[in-house]
Amino acid sequence: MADQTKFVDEGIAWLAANAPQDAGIADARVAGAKALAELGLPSKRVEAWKYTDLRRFLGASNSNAKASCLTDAVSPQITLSKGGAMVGALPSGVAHADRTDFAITDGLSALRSGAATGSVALTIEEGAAEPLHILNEGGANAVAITVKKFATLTLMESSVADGLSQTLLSITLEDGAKLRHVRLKDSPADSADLTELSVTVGRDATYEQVSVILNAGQTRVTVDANLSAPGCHMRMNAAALLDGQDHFDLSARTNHAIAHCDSHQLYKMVAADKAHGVMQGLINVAEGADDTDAHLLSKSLLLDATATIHQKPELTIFADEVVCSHGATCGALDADALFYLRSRGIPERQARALLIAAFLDDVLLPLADWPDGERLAAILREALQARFDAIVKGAGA
Amino acid sequence: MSTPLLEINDLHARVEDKPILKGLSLTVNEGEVHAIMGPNGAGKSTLSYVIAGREGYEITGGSIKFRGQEITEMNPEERAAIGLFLAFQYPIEIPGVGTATFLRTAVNEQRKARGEDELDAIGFLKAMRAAAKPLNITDEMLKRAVNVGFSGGEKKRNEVLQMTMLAPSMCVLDETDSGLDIDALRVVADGVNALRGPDKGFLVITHYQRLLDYIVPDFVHVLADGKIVKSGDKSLALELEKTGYVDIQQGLTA
Ligand SMILES: Nc1ncnc2c1ncn2[C@@H]1O[C@H](COP(=O)(O)OP(=O)(O)O)[C@@H](O)[C@H]1O
Ligand SMILES: [Mg+2]
Repeated sequence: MADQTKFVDEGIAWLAANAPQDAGIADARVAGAKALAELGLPSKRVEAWKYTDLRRFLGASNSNAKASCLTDAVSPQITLSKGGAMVGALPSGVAHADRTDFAITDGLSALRSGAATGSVALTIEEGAAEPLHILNEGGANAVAITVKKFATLTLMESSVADGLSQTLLSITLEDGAKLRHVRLKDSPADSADLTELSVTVGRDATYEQVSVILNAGQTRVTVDANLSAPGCHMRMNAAALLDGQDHFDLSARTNHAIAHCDSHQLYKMVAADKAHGVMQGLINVAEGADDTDAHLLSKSLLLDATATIHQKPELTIFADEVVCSHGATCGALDADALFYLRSRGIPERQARALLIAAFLDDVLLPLADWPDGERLAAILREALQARFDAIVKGAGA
Repeated sequence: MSTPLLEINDLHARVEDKPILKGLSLTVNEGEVHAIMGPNGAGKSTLSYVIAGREGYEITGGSIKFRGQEITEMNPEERAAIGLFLAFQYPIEIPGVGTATFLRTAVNEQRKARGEDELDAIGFLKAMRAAAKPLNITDEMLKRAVNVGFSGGEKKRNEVLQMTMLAPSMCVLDETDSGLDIDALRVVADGVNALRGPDKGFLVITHYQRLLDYIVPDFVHVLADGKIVKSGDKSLALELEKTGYVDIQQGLTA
């Protein structure tokens, strides 16, 4: 026992000696290492990690980050990497400050803090209408975004990281604020991604997210959404195309803390080859959160018998007069529809692609109401199509 | 004599180990309209699926030739590209795939397979509108997902629209009349009649004689228990209408 303690101290001494320039980051690493020694990492015996083996994440390889198709729409103003957070010219209305809060609450956050590379805090003032694009190439970075009263922002986030990337994204929406958030995941196959997203939605504020997962590698996204004041709206949609050894775990917890809020979640996963998709979605309606409108639907398609999907929608309700629904479906491509298309002369591969695109497409529907959303939707549709073409070509060979 | 358009010879087929077609033979020459009538469960839809190449319908004997070429080993899209078309008894709904997109993809894939140029967007749209109008198919319907939210009659008209756009030489219509009121039946029949020609063949499957007042056949066949048990001209349909299928079935089991 004493030896083990000594080993931790030596490690910490080494970290201090090899500390980065930024004193805040250096402190975060030391604090993370200390906390990790105490907390450890969750094993698969922990219910929330039942379907995801963190050990596989730790084996990720450093290679090269990929490019993001969203760069065609808006070139990134902020780049997160193993070298920290690089902030370029920001859209008007967006202010930034350095920030070093790595918020250690458990083993996972301790690991991230221990590997800390950079952090940034952003404040969106009223009137910032231009999109903000954050390109995530890796490292362990913390980003905090506060959208001020009645401010609106379109946030584009491209995670194209190699190696093990660990990101903490904390979003706070003040009263009447509106954030439209598009997330793209397109990373090398041997990469791993531990993302924690926390969202606090204020009075009459709106948070909308559309995620597209093209290349997951090993990914776990933990979402903690808090509907904390009356009249808030939340929508989260995700479409994932999983192939090869891809592992994608979306664990989302939505907390309706107060009355008169609504949340809508739609998740669609398509898994081929040996891919593994996980959707754990918990909606909690707290005592007093009357008149809550909360819905979660998770639908999956299995393209091969070797692929796996786990879906666990959960609902806990402690309030009255709520309208809540949750559900999950999992199946194969509709054989009747496939035959119908082929009987009209559409080749099998293309018929499959059409049906899969149709299956995923309603995830992108909210974009239709976003400024410039049609263009984003077109880019994402094309990227999904290209990814699907690659999957069927690989299978057909 | 020229090669028959469709020549089915001693065809045996089964579904899930259950023999359904038991030695069916039928020849359709260019320019001919053949009607197939028969009781429920006789194997009419099975015949149509076997001709179109649906998976799960296993051919255990016999042959199907299209213009002299054996097609039983071809996949559905290849059969479509050489000019075979099946109008489904129960057209399939495909959520998320727009009707116009579907039609355009189908038309262009068939053209590609035949080594023809693809239609451009404007050329296609013109052709689609021209084909849709006499079938009372609105632009709004063309924007909707394939058959989703379509009434029974709309689905059947959509089948005829696809047939018109794809211009096949051999059409199999599986109970395209069932569930239609008399006005819808006329629209569908007019659509089919407009496609008749000296180089086209039709196999019109129906349960009722009524359709054959509008699409007048050259030959009528009775399909029962997986075989053609009786053939004649259009008067056979009228006779069946009077006597029903009971006599035929009794004749078989006797
Ligand atoms: N997919 C299937 N699985 C099992 N049996 C089937 C299937 N399709 C058809 N059959 C059986 O085959 C027989 C013929 O059916 P069908 O071809 O639909 O007849 P019809 O169109 O003449 O009414 C029926 O006994 C039916 O139950
Ligand atoms: Mg039938």
